[in-house]
Formats: sequence, C-alpha cells, structure tokens
Amino acid sequence: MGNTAALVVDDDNSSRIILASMLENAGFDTLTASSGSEALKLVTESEVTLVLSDWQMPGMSGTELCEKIRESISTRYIYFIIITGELEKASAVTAISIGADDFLTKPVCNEELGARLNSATRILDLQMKLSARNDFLEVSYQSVTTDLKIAAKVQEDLLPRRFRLSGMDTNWFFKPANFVAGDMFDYFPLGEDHFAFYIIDVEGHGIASALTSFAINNQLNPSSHGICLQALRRNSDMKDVVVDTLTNLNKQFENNLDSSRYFTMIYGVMEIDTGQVTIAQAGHPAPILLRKDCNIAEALGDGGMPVGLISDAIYGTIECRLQPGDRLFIYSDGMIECQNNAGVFYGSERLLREIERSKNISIENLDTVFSDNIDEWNETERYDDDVSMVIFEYTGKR
Amino acid sequence: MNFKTEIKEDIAILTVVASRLDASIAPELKKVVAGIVGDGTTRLVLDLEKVDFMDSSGLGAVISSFKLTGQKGEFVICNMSEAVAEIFSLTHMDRLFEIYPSVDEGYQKMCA
Repeated sequence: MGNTAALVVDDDNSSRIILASMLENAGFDTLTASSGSEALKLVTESEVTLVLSDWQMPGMSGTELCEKIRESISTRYIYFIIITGELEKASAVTAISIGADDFLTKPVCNEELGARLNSATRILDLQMKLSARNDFLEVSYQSVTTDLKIAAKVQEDLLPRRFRLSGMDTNWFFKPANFVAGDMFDYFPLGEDHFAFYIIDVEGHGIASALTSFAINNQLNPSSHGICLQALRRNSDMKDVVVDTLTNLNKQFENNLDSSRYFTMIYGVMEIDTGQVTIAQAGHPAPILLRKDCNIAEALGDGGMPVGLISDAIYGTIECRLQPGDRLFIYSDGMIECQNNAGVFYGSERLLREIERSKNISIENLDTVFSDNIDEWNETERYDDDVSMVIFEYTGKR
Repeated sequence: MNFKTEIKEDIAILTVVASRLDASIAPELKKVVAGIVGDGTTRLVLDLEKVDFMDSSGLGAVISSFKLTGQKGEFVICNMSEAVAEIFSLTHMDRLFEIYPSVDEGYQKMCA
C-alpha cells in the first residue's frame, strides 16, 4: 500500500511550505493548495484522504471547505484537520461539530502535529480496512443472491404444471419465505390406474431445508426407480401402498441423531376410476375435503408421525371416496400459522370457512383467491414461513 | 438466557424461559441438553410452561433432546400450553412422551 495522500491548504505561502515539509517528513505524499476552491478541486481529482486546512482564508474558509468536502465526497473517508489561530481556539469546537475530525493551533509544533497525524493514520487505516471488508461483503452478498435466485428458479421448475391430469383438475400457489423454500409438492399419474400427490414441509426454511426438499423430490417421482411406484407394485392393498412409501422414506431420512431436517408430509394415492383416495398424514396439517353436494368443508385425519424424526415411525391412513366435483385441499402450516399485524393466526377454522366460501369459484381461479386471501391476512410482503397450497378436483372416471 | 436448569438429586429440571420455542433458539436447547447429559445427568424434566408457540424446529429440538438422554435416560415433558399440545397431537409425539400437567407431578413420577 502506498503512502497516505495529504493536502495542505493555506493562503499563506510560508506556512503552507513549512506544513507541507513537516508532512513529507512524516511520510505523507503531500499536495498543496492556496485556496479552498483549489483544494476542493484537488480533493475531487486525487486520492487525498487527509486534509490540513487553515481556518481563515480569503474566499472559502476552512470550515466551508470541510462542509463542501463532506457533501461531495461519499466514496472514501477524508480525515479533516483544521488549523486555528490562538484566538480562534474556542471555535475549534464549532469546526468539529460541522465535520472536522481534529484541530491544531498555530503555531504548529512538530510534536503535536505528529500526535495528531498518528491519530489520523489510525482512523484512516481502520476506515480503509472497514471499507475493504464492506466491498468484500457486498461482492459476496451479490454472489449469494444471484445463486439463490438461480436455486429459486430450479425449485420453481420442479413444481408441477397446473393442468388436467387423468381424473384430476389441479391448481396451486407457492410463496417461499426466502428465495428458496422447504415446502415442496407434486402430483403425477402413478402406473396406469392411479394418481399420486404429495406436499412436504421440511423443518425450518431457507437453503438447508430447500436442499432436503430437493432430495425428497428426487425420491418421490412416478419413475420405476421412484419409491412410489415400487410400493405400488409390492402391495395390492392401497393402505399398504401408502404406508410402505412413507415407511421407506422414513428409513432413508431418519439417520441423524439430532433430528434436524425432518419433514411433515401428506401423501395420497387415488384410484382414478373409482375416486377412492388413500392418504397418509405425517405430522402435516389435515387435508380438507369439500364435497360438491355439501356446503361444509371437513378436515380429514387426526395427525401422524413426521418423516425422518424417529426411527420405526408408524403410519396410518385416511380413506375417502371422491365423487366428481369434490375438492381436496392440501397446504403447509405456513398458511394456518400466518399471523397478521395484531399477532392473530390465520388458523384452521378460517381456512375451512374460506374454502366453503370458494365453493362456486372455478378451480382455475382458486390459486389467486387463496393467495390474495393469505396476502391480505399477512399484511406485509415478507412471509415468516413458506406458504403453499395445492387444490384437486376429481373429474370422474376416464 | 432462554433456558434455566436446576439439578435436583440426579434429575435435571430444564425450564424454557422463552415464550417461543422456534428456529432461533432450537439449537441452544440442543446445546443445553447436550451439556446436561455430558455432565452425567440423563433424567430430564422439560418444563414448557412459558412456551406459547413452538414451530417445527422447536419440535425437532425437543426430539433431539430426548434422543440425547439415550436409552437409559428418562425424559418427561410438563406444562404444555394448548398450542404446544396441538403440535404434539398432530405429530403423534404425545404417544411417544410421558406428559404431565405440572413439574411437580413429572418430578414425583420420575422419583417413584
């Protein structure tokens, strides 16, 4: 690193020359100016970080110069020492209050100047280290933000398309608390006669949770390598199919003593031609059923053990037979635990009532209806937890 | 401090002082319990009286704490608020733990 660049400002020739040589001797690269305006120009055009300026000068005074520098230079810190005459000593306080860092009294003695310069160098060094660290943080932050945006796009691309699948019309909305979420959901035809769906919520939220949700998504898919189809082929009873899938998942994710990265989940499989649905509720909020011929929405199930939390977890199932036009809602706890500004939870009861109110709205508009509804409740733009909801409407036998 | 520990005989009574047992203090709970177990106490009464909100990370930390006490350890939970009890019920963790309405009852049960 080069020497600190200093600037001596004084309208008096001899004072200026003496001060400049004192600074040179102290190891500073020194420039000089005979007026405030000349000094301002030099400060703007050079890398000066230390200014020693006389107070009383024709035209721009030392304090005015200090104010102008503070106004116009924001990219680096300039340490400003003002030099006063013996009679103006009290005014030094004023100078410091308008932005000068220190003061010296004429005649300037070498010893005092040395002490003031040491203090200036110390502060400028700190300032420089801080600014370098800030630059580094800024670059790092930009890089992390860019990566997160890419990850968010990858996660979004993993979410299913909203369209009519064999036997089901679907719709959903998804609001990550950070760029990426621990919430994830999907649905797909399973084999030739079934339709499978799931929603998961990995403990916590943010990057670590999102990575786990990616890993789970990788396991739960309609391919022959996926555990869903394997379970379907191994079992004939639908209850066994669903329980087998969850037990298998639990084995894969329950291998850590500290129980971090466990997840809650709804996993369901429907026989397309009969509308018979078998669901496992693994610690996840209850699915809600709204029958076409009924105005009351019903929460199904009384809970179950999450996946990856304890070994040998036991899973049960919920059964229901859908009729054409019946709707099934699955959602994450971020929905019902969303608090408004007064601290009131959105809550399961409110969700049931809103679902009932939405009965006559076409399924393709329900994502907007519920997304707007929760936005209105949340009041602020940021969410404390990921919020997601998936909606199914049975369309009947193929 | 979010947690307070009192050792009576060879039983640790661990009180959560914070009202929210969530992601912000869950790692600290695990650390505190690891410390208690490290000092040789594996019988633990967890007092949740002050907790009126628990999220998934909080629940994870409670389960981790339970696992930390080991096979020979004992772990009971006391003073659950309605909201916390709901989470234990939703996740069926109420079937895994002994739960008591007060610290005294939990402690007495452990001494018996």
